[in-house]
Parts: sequence; C-alpha cells; structure tokens
Amino acid sequence: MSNFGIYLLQKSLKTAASDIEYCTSSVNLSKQNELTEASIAAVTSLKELDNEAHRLEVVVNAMIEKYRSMDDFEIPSTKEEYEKLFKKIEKTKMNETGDTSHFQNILDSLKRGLEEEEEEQEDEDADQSQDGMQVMQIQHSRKDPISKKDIVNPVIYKPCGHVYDRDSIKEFAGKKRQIKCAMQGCSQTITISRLEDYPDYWNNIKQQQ
Amino acid sequence: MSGIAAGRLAEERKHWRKDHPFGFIAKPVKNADGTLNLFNWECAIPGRKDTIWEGGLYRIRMLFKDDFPSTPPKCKFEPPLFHPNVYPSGTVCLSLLDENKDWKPSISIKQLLVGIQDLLNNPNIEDPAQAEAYQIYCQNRAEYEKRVKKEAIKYSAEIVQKQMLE
Repeated sequence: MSNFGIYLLQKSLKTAASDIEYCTSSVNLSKQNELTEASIAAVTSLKELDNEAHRLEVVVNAMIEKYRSMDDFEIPSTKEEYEKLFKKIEKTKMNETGDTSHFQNILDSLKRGLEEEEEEQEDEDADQSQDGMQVMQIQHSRKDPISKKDIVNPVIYKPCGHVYDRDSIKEFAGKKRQIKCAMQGCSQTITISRLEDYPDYWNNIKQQQ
Repeated sequence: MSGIAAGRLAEERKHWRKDHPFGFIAKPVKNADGTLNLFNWECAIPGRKDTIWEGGLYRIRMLFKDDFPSTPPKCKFEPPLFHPNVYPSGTVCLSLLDENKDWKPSISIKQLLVGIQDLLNNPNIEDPAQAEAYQIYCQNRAEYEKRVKKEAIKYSAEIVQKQMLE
C-alpha cells in the first residue's frame, strides 16, 4: 500500500505542475514574465520532488525484494543501519527518474511562453519606438491638425515641435498673435510670429514611407 | 472663419467615409435642396460590448459653429439619454467637449464619438448633469443598471438603424 501512497503523491505533483502551467497561461498580467519565471522555478522543484518520490519508491521496492529473497540480507534493526542500507541501494538507483517528460513538457511550454513574451516585449519595444515614430508622425503627419488637409507649406513651432501648414494656422489664428497649440495633449502657446519654415518636413515624410 | 470650418468638416466627412469604428454612424444632414449641411451631423454611438449599454445604439446630434474647430461641436443625445453626465436637454457634459477644458482643434469627429462611447460606461460623478440618473447611480446601482439595460433594449441597434435610414 505504501507504493500506492507514492503513486498518489506523484500524481499530485503532476497535477500541481499542470495547474501552474494553466494559471500562468490563462492569466494576463503586466507582470506575466515574473509569474512565468516563478512558475518555471516551481515546476522545476516539483520535477525534483517527483524524481525523489520515484527514487524512494524504487529503492523501497528493491529493499523489499531483497528482504523477500533473504539470502545474504539482514533486516536492518536500527535506524542508522536502515539509512545506510537505503543510501547504498539509492546509489545504484541514482539514474532512476520520475515522469520526466511530463514535467519537461510543461517547462518547455512555460519557457516558450517566456520567449514569446520576450518577443512581444521586443515587439512592444519596437512599437514603442514606433510610437515615438508616431509622435514624430503626428508631428510630421501629412495632414495639418486644423484643416486636416495635406500640408503644403510646412511650418514648425520649435518649442513643442508640432508642424502646421502655414496658410492654415495663419488663417486659423486670424488677428490673434498667439494661439494654443491645436494638438491634443500639448499645452504650448504658439506665438504666430515665431513659427519657422520647416523644409526638413519633406525629408521626414519621405523617410516615413 | 466659416471657410476653415466648412473645409475641415468636408475633410472629416472624407475621413469618416474612408474609415470609421464599427457600429458607429455619422453623417451630415441633408438640406431641403439635397445638399449636405456639414454643420449638423446625425450620429449614433453603439453601447460597448460587455457593458450594460451593449445592444443599444444611441442617436446623437453634433452641431458645429462657424468657428469650428476653435470651438467643439455641441453634442446632444436625441432623445435625451438616461446618464449622469447628460443634461435633461440631451447635451453631453464631457471635458473633451469643453472649449475651456480638454477640447483641441485637432480632435476628430471619430475621437469625439469614441470618447462619448467611453463616457457611457464611465460616468463622471464629479460633474453630474441630470438629477435622476445621477441620484439613482449613486444610491441604487442595481436599479441604475436595470434602467440602462432597459434603455439599451428600447434603443436596440436594429430599431435605431432603421429609424436613421428613414
């Protein structure tokens, strides 16, 4: 019956590993990477435990075998003797492992998640630099932010870097010498006289394409 | 100034026809002679999925002034909507639509409609515009949700789409 106990233990270990895999894959957190790493550590420990459990089972079985055959075998009478014998047999069974493949599959899948995550991270990084580009793109959008028509004569307000079409912003400002920048999230006040021609705009547009 | 406004609204129309978010409607009304009145748009905002507003399509009128885009359009639910930030007249109270708050001339009609859709499920309790929805929202959330779901059925997308084609 003790074997059955070990069997149950090993089964629980496997279930725990699968559960960890499931949790890690089904939760979508910003800290998913950390979670995945923690899960990998946990599953690795479970794998070790499973190995130990399996070895224990094998060694105990071997001892029982020996006990049954009773040839040159002495039943250990003290705890020390038992442990000595156990270690002796254990040495011969060191390469016995549990259900390595089960745990390895889970580990592989978790690591794959981690790699994907990293790739996504890279993608995100790329996205972010693209966002940077998009900010540039908004700054250097083909469209004027007021008229939403294509920019013909680009002017830039250097303090915030936003680009307008000269005629559009001048018409929009009318007689006002200063207007608030039209871009969402920009708190600059634009002094119309300080708008500068921005011929580089065309190069930026070309680079974006 | 009207020149800027008309030109900009024509561009807005072009962009909307080229690309707009799913389920939304936005079109300038037709004058009696069949020409478009670019300063008066009939729009409709779908309730966002997985919210109590889902299934509903809420009609809203956008009225632009001659000095657009210096000033934001007035956005008015027709009929007035049961929502803490909608005045009894139907006018929407939202910082994005306030010239002295978050309005910026670069904000597009698309951004406004999406912003209002977002407001539906995220009422701003700091800035109530009607007593009824505000009080019920604060005092009895279950009743509030019941009322909203009733509205979503009353203004179900199917019915409202038909109305707007008439």
